Amino acid sequence: MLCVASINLPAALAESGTDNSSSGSSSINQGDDKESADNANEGDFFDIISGAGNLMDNQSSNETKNDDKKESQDGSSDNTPVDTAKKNVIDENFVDDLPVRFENIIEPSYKSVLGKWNENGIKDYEKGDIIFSLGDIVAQDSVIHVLSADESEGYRKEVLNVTQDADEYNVRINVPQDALYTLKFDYYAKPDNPNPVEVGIKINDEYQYFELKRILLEKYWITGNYSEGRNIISPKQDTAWRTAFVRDSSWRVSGALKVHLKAGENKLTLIPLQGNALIGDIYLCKPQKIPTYEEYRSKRTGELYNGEIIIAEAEEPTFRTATSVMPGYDRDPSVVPQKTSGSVINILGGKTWKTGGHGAIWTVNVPKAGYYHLSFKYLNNFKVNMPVFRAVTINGEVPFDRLNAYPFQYSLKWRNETLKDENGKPYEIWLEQGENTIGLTATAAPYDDAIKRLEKLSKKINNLYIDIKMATGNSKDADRDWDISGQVPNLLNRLNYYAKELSSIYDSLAEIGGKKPDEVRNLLVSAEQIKKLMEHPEKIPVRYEILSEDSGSILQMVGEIITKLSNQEMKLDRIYIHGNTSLPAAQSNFWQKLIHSISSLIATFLNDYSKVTDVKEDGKSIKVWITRARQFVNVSDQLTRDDFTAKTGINVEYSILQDEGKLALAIAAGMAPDAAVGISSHIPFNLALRNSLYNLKNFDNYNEVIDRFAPGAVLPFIYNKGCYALPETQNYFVLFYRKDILTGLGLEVPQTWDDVKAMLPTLQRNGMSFYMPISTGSGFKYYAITTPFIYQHQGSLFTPDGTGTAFDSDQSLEGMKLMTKLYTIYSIPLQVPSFYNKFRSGEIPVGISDFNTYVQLLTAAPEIAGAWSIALSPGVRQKDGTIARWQSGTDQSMIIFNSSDKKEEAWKFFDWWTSANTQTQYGNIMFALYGHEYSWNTSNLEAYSNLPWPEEHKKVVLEQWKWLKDVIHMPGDYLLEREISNAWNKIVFDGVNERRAIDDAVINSNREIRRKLEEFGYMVDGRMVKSIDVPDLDDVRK
Amino acid sequence: MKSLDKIKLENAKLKDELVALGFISPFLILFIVFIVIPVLMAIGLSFTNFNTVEFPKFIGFKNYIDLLTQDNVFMMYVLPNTFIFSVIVGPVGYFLGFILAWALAQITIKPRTLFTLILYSPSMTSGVALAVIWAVFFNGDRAGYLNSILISLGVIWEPVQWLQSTQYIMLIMIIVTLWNSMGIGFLAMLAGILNINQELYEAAYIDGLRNRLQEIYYITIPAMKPQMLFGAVMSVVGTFQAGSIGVALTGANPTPQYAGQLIINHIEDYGFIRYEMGYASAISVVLLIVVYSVSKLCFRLLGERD
Repeated sequence: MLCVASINLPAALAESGTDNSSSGSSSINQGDDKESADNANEGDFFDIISGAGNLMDNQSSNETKNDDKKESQDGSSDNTPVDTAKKNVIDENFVDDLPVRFENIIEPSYKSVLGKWNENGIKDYEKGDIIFSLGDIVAQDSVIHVLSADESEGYRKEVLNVTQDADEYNVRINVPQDALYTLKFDYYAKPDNPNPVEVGIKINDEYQYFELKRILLEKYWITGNYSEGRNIISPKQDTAWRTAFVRDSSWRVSGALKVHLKAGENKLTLIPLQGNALIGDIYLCKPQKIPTYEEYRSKRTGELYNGEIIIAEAEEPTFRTATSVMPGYDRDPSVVPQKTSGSVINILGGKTWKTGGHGAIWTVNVPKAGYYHLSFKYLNNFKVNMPVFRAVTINGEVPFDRLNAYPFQYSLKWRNETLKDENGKPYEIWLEQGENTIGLTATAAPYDDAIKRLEKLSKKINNLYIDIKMATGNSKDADRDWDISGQVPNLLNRLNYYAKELSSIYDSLAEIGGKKPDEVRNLLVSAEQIKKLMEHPEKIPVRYEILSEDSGSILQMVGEIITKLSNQEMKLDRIYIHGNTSLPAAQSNFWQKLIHSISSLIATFLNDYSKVTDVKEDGKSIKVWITRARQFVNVSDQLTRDDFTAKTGINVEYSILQDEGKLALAIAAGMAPDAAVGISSHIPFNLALRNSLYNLKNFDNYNEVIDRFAPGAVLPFIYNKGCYALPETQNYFVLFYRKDILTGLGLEVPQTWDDVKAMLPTLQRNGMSFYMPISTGSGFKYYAITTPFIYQHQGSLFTPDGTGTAFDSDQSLEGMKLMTKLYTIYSIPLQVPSFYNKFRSGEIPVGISDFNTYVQLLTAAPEIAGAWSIALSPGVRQKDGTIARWQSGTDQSMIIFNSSDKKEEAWKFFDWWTSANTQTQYGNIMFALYGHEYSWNTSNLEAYSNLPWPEEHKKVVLEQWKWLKDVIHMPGDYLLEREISNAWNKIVFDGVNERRAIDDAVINSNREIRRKLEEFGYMVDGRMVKSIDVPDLDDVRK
Repeated sequence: MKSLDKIKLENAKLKDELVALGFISPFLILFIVFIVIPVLMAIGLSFTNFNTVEFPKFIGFKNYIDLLTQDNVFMMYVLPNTFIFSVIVGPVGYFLGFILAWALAQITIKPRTLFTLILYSPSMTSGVALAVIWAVFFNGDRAGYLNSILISLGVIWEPVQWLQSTQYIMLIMIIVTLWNSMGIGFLAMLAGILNINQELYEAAYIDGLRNRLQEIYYITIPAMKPQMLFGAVMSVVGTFQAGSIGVALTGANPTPQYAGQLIINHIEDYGFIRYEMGYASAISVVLLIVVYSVSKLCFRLLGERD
């Protein structure tokens, strides 16, 4: 209980501090206190905020009000329970269409716009295609972007050169009638990076609907043969000119999109979003209606094929339309081809073939024109009891409507699926004699409605969550009585509506799949939880967190389901084209499985799986240990062989190192490799101190290489003026903030720590707070999170002669004070297990965090996409007015060992690997293959600015990297790190005076530093005999 | 002829020896390779200055002298912590194990099996799983179980930082270790109690035994001395080796202000953080001596003397 008191005390201080600092704002609100509290749930957001803002002051009055109510209820409950009963009556027909807070304004969807056009009687265009040659229609301002026929990459006409350099490209097209058209382009996607070309299309200066904001010009990727399993990683782009309709980039809408053009001249604007392309002719076409199967079948007469089965191997498509549709390996013995030891490329797709619009195209040869059955050997064990959908195209077109999105049912084992109608009758599909193409493209179109409804619903639930939170002022007192149904109008009706909506969405999904969709069972669970919440309305203020907080909350479950529904993962082994012959069994029998398992087991004894590459021993191969996941290493390996080895003739033999602690042991045993990459930033110094690493400053072009990085990132690798490692990846600590909440609360993005202190009272009144990395769960506070406070106050860690710590300087003291007072006086939470979760729920709408949080928010927080951003870390204003925003951020590094006899070769490899070109290429490939989850956070500044991160974020990170100053290391400095952590702990938990805590820390650290200096021969009997250099930014270059 | 017989006899004896050796050789080889040699090497290294990377330098008893005269952390935190920790966890855990085993022996087989499983299972969960469970329980925000319960009971208002605040760390380590201590020693004692011949009790009651306490003192304990000894040794060894729990709970070595620093953590600190393997070896030799002497004490108390 002692501790409780010591924590309560600062909290009380904070409140009094709050009153002082915010007296101005609260006096403004005083006038409309009552009104805002009363209108709390009808008024707009600002009313609510001010209402809640005054809740603290109002609490007493609120309580009396509640007590009154309670009394009156108690008094009347025996005779007339009407009052309560009326409130708790649920209107089953209630629909929650209350305005949603923080809603981003977005264009309406295609479906709703199309509906309006149909209502207004706008007809489809019905005549032949209108073709515009680009040279004729380009608007005056875009003329400079037109390339002549000679430069048109074989188009032999004038073309429009769409690059990222211009903001928009305008063309003017004349159309004969006011109607709906579909739009087609001839385009050439430049093969300069692996990402697709994306453009937005405005017509007469507006996006007619949401889908037009992002249109893909697909790239077609060729997969070569798979000798050595290569060619997957760095696929080649097929650079022919292509023609494509404008369609929804995620294939949630089937078929080409219609646009509305008025008679006469229209302005068509292309907005380049990503990638570079040439645009040729533009076509306006009449919207096609896709026939039904009956119409399709009756168009031609012909016979069903009756020859042998024609097989196409899925892993050998002619083209893939996205690099993430990857060929891969499946262990199941039924998959063809199969191998017992190691792996062989034998399937296409898997987890990465999930995004709508990503597909592949196969070319098959058939002996004669006629009707064929089409079967696919596939595996969908990704969605329990739910189908995934693929659009099937034959020779570039969807032949009939059901193939717009054909369901592949859930199955734990490989299955043959013959395309068939609902009654199980196989479709007969017309193929021409000779070459035909079959295309399969992922699509989530059937789930589109459900996804949209869920998105809407999750906003509404969040809205209610905030309503309740505002009404209760974040009080968690279980003993307090609330008249919550009275304070939040329609509370039960709204909850009831959500529960009904959730189960109705579940039912609609069940109807689509034909089975109970267990994958989305959480919809029912959520509905159930809401019902439970409704059983005791008076308990809602205590239990409502289930709506939005924490990892199992309803909002998060809904968010996860939205992602699940959009993802359409599937593996494909083979395609069969056949008549009425029976197909080879999709599963192997017991004996085949047994033999396969036994031989694979034996093979595990014969292969070294940690070796990624098998290189023949010769004079020119270097051994490199790497501490990364296999996905990363495989791509490094491919890239090295294709580029580095090809250019220099030096082989690189990669081995995966599981535990970098083994490095020291390997050195001791004399088994160190030539180089190691992916090493944590604190290790190189320790090895260098013990003479095991090679000083990279000995290489001639060291300066040229080191200039690729932020100088502060190299600091941890400097020892006595030598540099013993190169930074490879880089972290950053930046400020994350919720735009919606900060705007709602009228707060600015904080620039200094004073700003942070000033915004805390407002946040805390609303039950919110601020986050710093010091609040992570661990009791030990690392350098990376403590030193920025010292650096920002211009403090330094060591005395200039290196014989002790300068942690007791006044500057450091100031840093320490800030680091602890934010907790002891300003009461920011001491432990936050997951900032990512609290940020999503809005509980902590602003805080400092790193690259990992960034990736998580970018990839796994769909419900707040676009509602957050990053900014420079807050800092300390200096005397000259600038703000010192120092943060750490070195991540992984690369080292060359002293024992190596191929140091020059290893350095050449480092030089190549850290070059902007290689890093850009590598980052792009990783992104294209695996998406942002496996994104490569290069420390090469130029390469970073080339990678596909959102531009606005990139700017912030590059600017923050100018303020990158990582820790420097000295012998024995780990004890300083520890003592700073302990001092923080003493001040915050034991209430020890800052000065005293620091003095203790300094004594201990100095003792250890001197002990270590003696061990390494710098000091004898307390006197320096050799000088040691304290690294600073000037030591980075040679 | 006589000598021939003798030779034959000796041959037979030798053969027997060899056969016996053959049977224990798998264990013997593993024991020598993985226990004896490392222990000898550690003793050897404890007389050197070995920075893990370069070749060790012989420095005599300096490590031991430093340990006793220079190492503040060892004297101020590690030794007292280890002492408190082992004095509480060792005997309490041991007697808890005995009492629970005895209690379980009194009930019928089905619930006994069930309860044994329940009591034994915590000791099967290892470091990480353990830390995950308890870290959630003692989490420092409002969502941590203990904080949440105490706040809802109105005992505290603000969440308590159980795992960062130095005054609680040792207590929590002890609680978690006790929860975790019904291990193999407990099973052995249970088996020991169940194996006691029931006729002994009957005979004793005829001879004038009056209550359960006497039953335990005069019959149960003497009859299961070997298991008691086994349990005691396991408990001693386990207690001194339990170092990971503090680090696992607080998230890093060292624990905040060394509040939960045990001798094992100290060894890891020197060996892997400060790269001083020689010194770390010296501490582990000290640990070895301590464990050995306490085990000897247990033998004195519980061992059969004949």
